[in-house]
Amino acid sequence: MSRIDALVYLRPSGRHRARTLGHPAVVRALPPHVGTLAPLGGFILYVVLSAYGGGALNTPLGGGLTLGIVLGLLQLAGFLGSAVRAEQTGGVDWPAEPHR
Amino acid sequence: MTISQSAQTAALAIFSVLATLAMLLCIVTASDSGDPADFYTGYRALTPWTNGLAVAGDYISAATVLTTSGIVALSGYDGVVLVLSTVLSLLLISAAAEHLWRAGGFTLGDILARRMPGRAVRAAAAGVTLAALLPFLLVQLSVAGALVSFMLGAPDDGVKAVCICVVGALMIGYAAFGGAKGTALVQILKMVILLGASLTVVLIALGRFHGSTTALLQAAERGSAAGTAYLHQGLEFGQGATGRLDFVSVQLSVALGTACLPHVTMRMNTATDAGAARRSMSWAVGTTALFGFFVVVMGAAAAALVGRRLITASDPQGSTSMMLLPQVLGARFPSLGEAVLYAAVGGAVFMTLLASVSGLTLAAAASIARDLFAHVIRRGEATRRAELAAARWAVLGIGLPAVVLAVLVRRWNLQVLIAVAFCVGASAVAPALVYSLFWKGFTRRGLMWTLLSGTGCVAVLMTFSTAVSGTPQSLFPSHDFHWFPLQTTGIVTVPVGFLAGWLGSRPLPTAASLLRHPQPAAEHPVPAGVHDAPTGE
Repeated sequence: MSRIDALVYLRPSGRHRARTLGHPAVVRALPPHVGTLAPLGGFILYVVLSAYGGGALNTPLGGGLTLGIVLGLLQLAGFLGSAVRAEQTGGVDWPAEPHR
Repeated sequence: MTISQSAQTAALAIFSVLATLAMLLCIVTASDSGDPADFYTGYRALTPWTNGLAVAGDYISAATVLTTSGIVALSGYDGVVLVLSTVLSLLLISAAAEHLWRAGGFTLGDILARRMPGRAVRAAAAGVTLAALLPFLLVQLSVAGALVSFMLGAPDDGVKAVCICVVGALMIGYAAFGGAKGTALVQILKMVILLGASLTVVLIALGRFHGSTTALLQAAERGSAAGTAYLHQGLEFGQGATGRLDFVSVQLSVALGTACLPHVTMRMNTATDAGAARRSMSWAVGTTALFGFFVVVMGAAAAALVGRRLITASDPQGSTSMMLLPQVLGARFPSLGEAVLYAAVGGAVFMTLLASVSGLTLAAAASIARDLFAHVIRRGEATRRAELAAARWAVLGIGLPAVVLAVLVRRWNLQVLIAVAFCVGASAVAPALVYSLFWKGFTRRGLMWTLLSGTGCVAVLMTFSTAVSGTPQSLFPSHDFHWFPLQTTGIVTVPVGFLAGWLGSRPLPTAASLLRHPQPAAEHPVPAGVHDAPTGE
C-alpha cells in the first residue's frame, strides 16, 4: 500500500461514511477500523494500568467497589451494548471486501 | 462437604437423559448427502440467533467456564479481567466474521489457502490447528474426568478413568454422526441449559444478600481470606515484577488468541449468508458477555458463601467452585431443592463438557481430512466420498488417542495446556488471519514464517516456562529446568508472530543484489503474479 493509497483508504468518507450514517459525527470523522480496535486499545490500557498503575485502580468508590472493578464491569457492559447495537444495525462496521 | 445421596442420584439421572438427548439430536440431523461440505458446515442452514448460540457454545468451553469461575472465586479482580479478555476476544473476531464466511472454507487451511494455495500452506495450517486443538482437547477431557467423578461423589482415580472413557465415547459419537449441524444442536442445547442454570444460581445467590452488591462483595472479601486485596490486581499472579508481567501476558494471549482457535472460526460457516454470519456473531458476543456477568457473580458468591478454605480443599485451582456453590445455596431447602439445584448445575457443566470436547474433535478431524488428506496427500483430487470417510475416521483417530492419553495423565495438573492453546492462537493464528484478510502486501513466505515461528516459539518457551517446571503448581513440580520466568508466553510470542509475518513478506536481499546495490530498493516488494494466483481451490 503506497502512502497515497493509505491516505485514501483511511479518509473518513465513502463506504465508511455510508456505513456510519446513523452514528454521531465524532464516530463518522474517525478512520474505519477505529471502531473495532478501540475496545482492544481500551482494554490493553486497562490491563497495563491494573498491573503498573501503582494502585490507582484500587481507589475505593464506596459500596465496596473499587475504580478498577467498576471500569472492568463497565467494559463488559459496553461489549454487551455494542453486540446489541450491532445486531440491530446489521453487524459490525468494517470494510465490506477484504484486500485481494 | 458431602453431597447428599438424592443429589447424586438426580445428577446421574440428568446426565443420562442429556447424553441420550444429545445423541438423538445428532443422529436425527445426521448429514447423509455424502458431501463433506455438509458435514463441515451443516448445510449453512442455521439462522443468526441459533448460529450465534452455537458459536457461543463452541467458544465457552468447559475448561474456560470452570477455571475462570474458580479464578474469580479465589482471586477476584484477576478473574474479572480474565472474563473481560475472554469476551473481548470474541468481539474482535466478530469484526472478521463476514470475511471468514466469504472465504468459504471450513478449516484454517481453507481460509489461508484462498489467497495462497499450496501444499506447504495447507500442511502448516493443519499443523498449527492440531498444535492448538489437541492440547485443548486433552485438558477438557481431563477436566471431564475430574468433574464428573466429583459430581457423582466419588473423586477417586479409577472412577476418573471410567468417566474420561464414557465422555470420550460420547464425544466421538457426536462428532462422527452429527458433523457440524449435529454438534451445533448440542452446543445450542448446552448454552440454553448453561444460561438457565447460571441465571437461577445468580438470582438465588443475590437473593441471599437481599440484592445488595455491597453485602456480596464484603462477604466475598471475608470469605476469600484476602480482605480488600480481593478487589485489587495481583492475587492470582503475585505482586512482584514477574507476577505483573505474567498478568499482562495472560490477558494479552487470551484476548488475541481464544477466538482465533479453529473450532471457533469454523462456526462462521454454518450461517446462511454473510449478513447472517455477522448478525450471529452479535448474538454470540451478547450471550458470552451476559454469561460473563453470571460468572463474575457466581465466583464472588462462591468466595462469599463457600469460602476459600473449602474451595481449595476440593481443588487447589478452584475449578470445582461452580459445583460447590449450588450445594451451599440448596442446603437451605433440604433434600428436594438441593437435589434439583445441584442436578441442574451439574447437568449444565456436564453438557458443556460434552459439547466442548465434541466441537474440538470435529474441528481437528476436519483439518486432518481436508487439509492433510484431501489437499496434501491427494493433492486436491480426493473424491467427496473419500474425504467424508476420512473426516469420520479422523474423528476416531483423534478421539481414541486423546482419551487414552487423558486417562494416562489424569493425575497431572494440565492447566499449562490451556495456555499453550491460547498462545498458539494468539501468536500464529491471529497474525496469519489479520495479515491475510487485511494486508495486501502479505506473501506466502510471510505466512509460513508467521505460522512456523509463532507456533515454534510458543512450543520452546512454554517447555521452559514456570508452568511446566519449577513451582508447586507446575506440570512437573518435582523438576526444575525452567529459564523463562513467566507462565504464559504471549507477551513475547505475539510480537514474534506478527514481526515474522512482516519480515517474511519483505524481499530477501540476495547476494548479487547486495553486491550491486548496497541498499536494495523495495518499491514493489511482491513479485508480479504472487497475488494473482487463482483464488479458491
